[in-house]
Amino acid sequence: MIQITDQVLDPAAVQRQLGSVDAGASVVFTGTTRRLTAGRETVDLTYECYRELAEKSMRELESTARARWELVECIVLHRLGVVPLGEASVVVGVSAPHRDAAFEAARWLIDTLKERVPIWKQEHWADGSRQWIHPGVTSPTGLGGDGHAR
Amino acid sequence: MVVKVLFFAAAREISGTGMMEVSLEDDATLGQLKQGLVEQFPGLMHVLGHSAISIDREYATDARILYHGAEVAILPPSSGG
Repeated sequence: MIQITDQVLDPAAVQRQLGSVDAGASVVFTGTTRRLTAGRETVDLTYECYRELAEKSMRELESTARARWELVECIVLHRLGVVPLGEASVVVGVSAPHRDAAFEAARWLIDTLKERVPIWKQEHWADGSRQWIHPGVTSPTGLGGDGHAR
Repeated sequence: MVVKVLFFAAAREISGTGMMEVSLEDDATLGQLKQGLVEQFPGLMHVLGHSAISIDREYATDARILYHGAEVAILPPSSGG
């Protein structure tokens, strides 16, 4: 199940949705808004996406993960709009008969989502400036992402 | 023909719009559309050079021939998660 939403994400609810008597292992990864990046202070993050393509890409991630690992449940949620400090922007949950598949699939899903799914974050820094993060793009106009922990 | 161009994140900020319609010669390529966008928005060149492009939600290269009504999206490197 994949979903892009404006609503607050609840990792505990995802954990409950993974429950199955066919599962021997479940992994929930939660990505949250962090206060410090390379010494700079973040106020909050704002996310936007190209919804049609992002949903299509996320569905492809789920079907690829299910083909590659034996999974019971597979849940990928991403929040849009302003995400305050400490709140979740992304939750990936998988359950599987065995833990290796659960760990590996969860790791692959979050890494590949970050790389491929057309979703973008804008940093709102404590000095009041705002900056779209685009890994690999550096420019004097203040756009960029090099050195930003992903 | 007329195509719809969508701009996201830094590309939206630089162009000042999320969506615009662009008139092109019939059989124009994606590369020609990109060239025209850079002429209109010189600041876009750098980000565009790093961006993926989709046509009707499929990734496409500069050689692709556009068609009337196509939805072209400028997709700077992703930073979700």
